Amino acid sequence: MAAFDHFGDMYDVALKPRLLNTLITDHLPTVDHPFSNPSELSKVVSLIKTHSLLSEDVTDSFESKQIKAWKSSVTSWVDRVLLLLSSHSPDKRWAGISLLGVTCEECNSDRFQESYTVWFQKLLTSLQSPEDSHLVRVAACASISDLLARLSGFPKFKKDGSASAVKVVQPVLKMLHDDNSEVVWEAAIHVICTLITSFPFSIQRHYDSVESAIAVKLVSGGCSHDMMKKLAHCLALLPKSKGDEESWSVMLQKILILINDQLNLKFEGLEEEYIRKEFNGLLILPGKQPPPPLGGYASTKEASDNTTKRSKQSRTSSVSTLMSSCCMLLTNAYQVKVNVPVRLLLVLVERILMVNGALPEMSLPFMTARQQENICSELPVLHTCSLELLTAIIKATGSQLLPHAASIVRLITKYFKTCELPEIRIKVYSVAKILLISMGVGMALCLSKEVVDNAIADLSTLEKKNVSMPNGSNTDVSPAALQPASNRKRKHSSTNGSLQENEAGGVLGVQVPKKCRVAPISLRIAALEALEALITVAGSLKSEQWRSKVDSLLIAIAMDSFREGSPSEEINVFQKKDPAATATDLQLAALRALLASFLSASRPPYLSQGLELFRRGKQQTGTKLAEFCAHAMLTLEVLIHPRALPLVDYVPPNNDTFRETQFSYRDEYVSRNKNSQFGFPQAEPPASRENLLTDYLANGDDEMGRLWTENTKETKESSEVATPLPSSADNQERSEMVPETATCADVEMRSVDNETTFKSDHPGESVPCQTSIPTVIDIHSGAATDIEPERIVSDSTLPHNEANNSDLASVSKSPVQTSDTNLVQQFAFKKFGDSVDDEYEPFPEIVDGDPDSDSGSE
Amino acid sequence: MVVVLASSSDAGGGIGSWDLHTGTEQIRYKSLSSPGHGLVSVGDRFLASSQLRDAATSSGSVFFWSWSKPQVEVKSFPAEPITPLAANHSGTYLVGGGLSGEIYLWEVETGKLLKKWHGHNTAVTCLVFSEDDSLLISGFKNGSVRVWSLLMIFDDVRRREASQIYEYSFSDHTLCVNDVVIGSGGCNAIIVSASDDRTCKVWSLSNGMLQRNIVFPSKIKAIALDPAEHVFYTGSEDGKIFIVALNTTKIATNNHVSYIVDSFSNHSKAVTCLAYSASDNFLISGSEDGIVRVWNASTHNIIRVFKHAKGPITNIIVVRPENDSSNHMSSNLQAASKKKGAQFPPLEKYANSIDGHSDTKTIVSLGDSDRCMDASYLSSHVISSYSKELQNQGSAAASEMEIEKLKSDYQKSVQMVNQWKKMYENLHQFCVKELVDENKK
Repeated sequence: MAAFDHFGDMYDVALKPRLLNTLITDHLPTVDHPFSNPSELSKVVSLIKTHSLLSEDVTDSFESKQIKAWKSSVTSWVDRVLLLLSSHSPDKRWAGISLLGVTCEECNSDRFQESYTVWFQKLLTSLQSPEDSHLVRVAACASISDLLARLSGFPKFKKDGSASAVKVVQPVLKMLHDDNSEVVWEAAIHVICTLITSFPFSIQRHYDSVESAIAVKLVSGGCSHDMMKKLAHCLALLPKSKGDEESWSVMLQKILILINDQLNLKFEGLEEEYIRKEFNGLLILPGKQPPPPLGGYASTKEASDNTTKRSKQSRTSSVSTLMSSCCMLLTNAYQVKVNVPVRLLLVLVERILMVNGALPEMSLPFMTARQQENICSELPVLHTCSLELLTAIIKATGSQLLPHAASIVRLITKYFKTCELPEIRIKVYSVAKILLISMGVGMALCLSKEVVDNAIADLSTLEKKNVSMPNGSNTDVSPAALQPASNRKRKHSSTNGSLQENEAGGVLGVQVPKKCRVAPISLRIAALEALEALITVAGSLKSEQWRSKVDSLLIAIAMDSFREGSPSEEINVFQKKDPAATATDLQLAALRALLASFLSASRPPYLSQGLELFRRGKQQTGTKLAEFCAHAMLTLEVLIHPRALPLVDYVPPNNDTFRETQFSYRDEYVSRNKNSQFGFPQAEPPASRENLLTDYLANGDDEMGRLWTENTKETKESSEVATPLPSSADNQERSEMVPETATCADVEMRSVDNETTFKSDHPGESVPCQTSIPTVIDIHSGAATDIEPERIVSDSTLPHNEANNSDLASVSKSPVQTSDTNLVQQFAFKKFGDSVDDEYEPFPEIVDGDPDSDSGSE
Repeated sequence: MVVVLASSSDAGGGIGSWDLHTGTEQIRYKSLSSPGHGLVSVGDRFLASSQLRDAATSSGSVFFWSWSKPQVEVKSFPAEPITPLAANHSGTYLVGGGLSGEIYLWEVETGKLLKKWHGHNTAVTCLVFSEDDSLLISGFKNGSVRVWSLLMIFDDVRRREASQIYEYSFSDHTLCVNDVVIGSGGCNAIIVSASDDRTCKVWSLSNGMLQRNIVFPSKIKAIALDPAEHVFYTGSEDGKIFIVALNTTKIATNNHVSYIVDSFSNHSKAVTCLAYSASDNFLISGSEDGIVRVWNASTHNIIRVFKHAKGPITNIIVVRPENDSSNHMSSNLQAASKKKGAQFPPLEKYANSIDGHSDTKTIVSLGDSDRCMDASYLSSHVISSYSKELQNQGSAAASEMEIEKLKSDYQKSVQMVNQWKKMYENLHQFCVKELVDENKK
């Protein structure tokens, strides 16, 4: 066409047919020419996907010419692909089949509906042709599975699709039986999985043969690990094709029976008889017929013949595969509710976990060291699998785990004590973490000790290192340095804390030599995560025994993680099998746990250090750490500036209560601190404010009130200020008082007006008059509580009790009625005697200051 | 759709339901009279209520309704009259408190009575699950409040060892506990209890201490907690609803009343129950005069009034029925929902502990079967993974293909050779013929 027929931009529709045509002419193999460059195909596919060249996604706004062009080029693409598919050369056929699969995935749904029958036939014939090479078969399987997957998206073709899908089953099963290439098996398994999920009816008729085909492969154990995983997955999916409760249970039971058979062989003489009996008793309930063995009798016999021939290694892998199949059965979604034999599964888990390779006395003569060696080499894999099964059980049952939770806790507790391999410990930690998060507070009460003890043991290597390093001294000093500060506020609890601190140090000191080797990073991460979960769930629930230990440990680890380049860790990174867990991950885990510890503590002791760490972490631009630290800063900001906003904007009915509530909200921060166990986490105030706060707390709430009223005073008019706030009164009291004070205010207003006119002449004298009432109150409360002079400023203090109240009432009336301010002052000073003298000096200047500014604004 | 459900102690008054937004009355579920705290939505799947029958019968009764039908779906008759009912958040367990102080725990799915334990010597008045469903808080007629860890309840070994099986027992109330609520916040949550002794008490879950004691002018019958736990509302016997600040400190010493921020009232009679609808910040109160009032929680104006019964309202709950759409949509779905309701067997009367295997199986639903599975396409993966192999001819499969290709090439070549041979022979013959012919000439 035209060489200069330009189009708009990369989003222009005109580009698509052009590009597609270019792909067809330049990059697709033709029937006649040899297929020189197969790797170009992946480029073609990626271009098609990024530009969605086959989608024919047109809207009405496009010109019909463009639409037509696109349509014709897609048609020519399909033609070319079909041509390739029927070519004689295997590589071109492979290309054709694969590209047809891509076309099924990518093409417009109208086109798909029109032509899927033709495509299906073509693919089916290439699937059935026996002499093709493996690659072609794999491609055929993949493409047919893609076609069926796409087809399942059209509800109206459900029936038609099922009819077609049935035709696929036989050839695929044949491939599983006859072929000996794992690549082909894998593709065949994929087709079966697609059939199960998309067209379950097609599988139903062949249910047993599919089951046996998979079972034979599974049990004979001649496949790679990946292949086994896929087989297990397919086996777990299989009951879905029937979709009833029965077939799920039967499948699980069959698998468990198979596992049982193999374990019986393996654990001969290694396990206690009772647990085997218990398992068997639960496996086949008395009076019930066991289901036929997995995959039918013949195949298992053949398989077991195979297994006896094969090395023991393969048998383990088949047990572990079968167990992972159980896990998938438990965790995959299922159409209907199922009956999970939780008890049976738990006994299985326990049965495996309790075998540690030690020979009981009586079976010593029956087993050679070689046999024992074999078992012991396999045990870690089995233990890992059974812990995975445990996780699956917890996930599957969710809230219904409750009746079994106690036995799980006992199992975990028992196993934690003996388990030493890092990989398995990681799994145990993760189980503990899941339990804590899912079962909440109740679980934390049971599990906290175990998690804390083990985590401290695993993490304590770091502690030790810290002590020896000069850099770490900082960390060690910090708890001691912080302790006195908090001592003043919560004498009782913090002395406890410091005691525990020492104890904790002692405990750590004892534990360090026992576990002298450094725990691998991944294990430490798992321990930190478990601690984080524990703190999250029950950071302050009956946690006195471990809380301070854990807090100091966490800050130590977090600070340690910021020390640059600790060489042992660097080496560790290279030594480790799992390259994923690095020092950075450890750092992240440590900070996460630290954040949790800050948030859950009523008074986080290391907040300032922690904030510093988060600030530093945030500077590491572009890392996960920085992301998390930013989040942590945001979270902690609320801790530093606590705000308890009401969900509802609370509109008070009258002014007085409004002030009171406002006061309350403001005051909440302090009150929380005072109550300290109450609700929200509390911030650690900066050290300079410490004393101040402690004083407030010691003196009760009146000072707070004064502080607050001082702050809000500016907003009020002076006359209002003069009225005493009846905020301490209860409802009745208030209703009595409000009118009274109101009249007082009225009267006073007048008097103030008089005064102001007067004031211009005699400013010095008039000022005390205005503030006479507050003055009295101030003195009164100042006398009651001994505080710094500048705190007394507030005019409207809250009276202590009713006795004082009545006092005040009488006092406040007198100046208003008499307007004799001097008298009032004298009266007041006389009344409150000696303590007033102390306050006398600072007092007048403060009073001078405020009303002056007020009257200035008037 | 947010639905308000209210039950009353009227015999035959039924359980009324109203759409909170439109105010229209929905289904009225047929029931006998429901006691206080005896109405519960089980995991939003169905409705359960304990029922008071004539005093002559010794057994209690608990009825289930599916959302779409007014008729009782399932009737069960526990061993003794049950007053309070509670369900955990996922609706798998139902807990009931008996008049004798026994607490019963049933598995909803099977109806099995999983556990029964002695709560106290007096009647259980209210039951509530903690946020994470691991704790159960119960209030008793004699004023005590007990916190149970369900894990402990199920742990027979530890139960035998422990001196007491409850986590906390608060006995500061002197008279019947009328309502207990628990706030959010995991282990830092607060428990608020209301009692006939004219007080509400706030307890800390983390250390089991009494945090606050609020004295009211009259008996407090109901509590509703503001979701942000800024305040809580109490319904008192004199018809007032008090607003009590949670976040404040005590304002004056020896004067507990100061926690009460405000009160409002439009009830001539006692407020018997309160509920808070978090989605629109409505406070819903039920009164002894049988009327349900919906208040705007910020302005304290009445938004709606539902007249329910002659007798006192005993329960108000705000629910979001799970399959409310099925009422209006296809009959297919409705049938499914009917099936769902009928699925639950009645609650068992006695724990079936003769065979030790009563708890070996647990019925669970694995995942959401409606979840659409993402179709996974494989072809493009096949292309990308094998095209390289083909290019480099590295793997066995690729070389196999190469062999096939060579085979066909070979065949082609053989054909070609044969052709050429033939041509050559033809040519040869032709030439020989020519020569011979020439010689002949």
